[in-house]
Amino acid sequence: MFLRSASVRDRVLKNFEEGCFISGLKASMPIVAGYLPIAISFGLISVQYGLSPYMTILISAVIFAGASQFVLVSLISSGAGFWDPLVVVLLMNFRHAFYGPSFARKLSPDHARFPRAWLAAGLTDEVFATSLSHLSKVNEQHRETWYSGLQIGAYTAWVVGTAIGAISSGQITHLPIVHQAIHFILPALFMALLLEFTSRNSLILVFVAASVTAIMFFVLPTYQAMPIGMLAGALSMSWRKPAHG
Amino acid sequence: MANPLWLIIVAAIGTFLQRFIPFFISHTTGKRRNRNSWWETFLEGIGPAAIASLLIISLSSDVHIQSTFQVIAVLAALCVVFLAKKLMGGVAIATLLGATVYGLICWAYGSL
Repeated sequence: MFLRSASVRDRVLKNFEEGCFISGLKASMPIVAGYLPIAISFGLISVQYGLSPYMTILISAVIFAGASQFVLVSLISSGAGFWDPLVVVLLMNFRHAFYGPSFARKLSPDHARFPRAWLAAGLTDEVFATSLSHLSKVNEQHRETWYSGLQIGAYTAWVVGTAIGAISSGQITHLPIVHQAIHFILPALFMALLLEFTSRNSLILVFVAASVTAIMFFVLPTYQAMPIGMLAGALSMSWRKPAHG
Repeated sequence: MANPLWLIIVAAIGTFLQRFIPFFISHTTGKRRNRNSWWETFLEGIGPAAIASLLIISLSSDVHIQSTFQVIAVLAALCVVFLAKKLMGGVAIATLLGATVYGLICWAYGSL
């Protein structure tokens, strides 16, 4: 549906034949291995929060943004209304806005194969990180095809994993260790992501965000405590690193 | 909320636009960001700050700490996540190992 003409289709098919798409798909395997268990956990948790399997799979299919999906279903189940969950999800995913400009530098406008919307749709944390580390090794002409393979692999794993979790939740949670372990999936995921994103320079930011969130948690609902803590952390960083230009 | 369909659709559109618009503008204009601006520094901090806040929220909401043993389970699991992330590098494996250790400790405690 993205192919505008026969010539474009021919070029894409040629790229497929040259193995760029498959190469991108292969590069997505570590992401697939990471996404599947977390997506299954999301499916499990979402259904446990009271959302239907259909709605759970729809969330993964159209939003495709890990941590914010967990928070979204948590806020929906707490009866948070429309605007608060929306603002929290958009604030959480706002970091994605910085991936595009960095990713765009790796692609040549002269070798555009796919619509920009297609390429941007799958720009998650893991896809962005993997593409940045691999794209320079891919021929400039074939980068978009390679990247398409990467993001299709990641997206498929996320949606299929969610479906597995959502549909099989009744059976999986009967295992006692799994029943206990899924309660710790989210803290473990956020701890691991924190270690991924946090540098020595952002330790104070993390401390401020965590402290303010913990304090606010005692006096405000979760969906208000979280953005206040987040904004306080980000403000502490900009306060410590004033503008030079 | 009785039917969150519209919330999901609007959140999906918003998330997509956050990925698409800066990418599209950057790709078509080739302009570079001014990394020294206050706004850029603030936005740069949003990601780690959000994750730190989420860690606190998830520890407070999802893990029901009712005994000293559960505190030990949480601390042990967080240590496992830290070590796995440092030694093996991946987010997924660290997450799984941490959750598994927590599940095993709680299960063993419940079996005593």
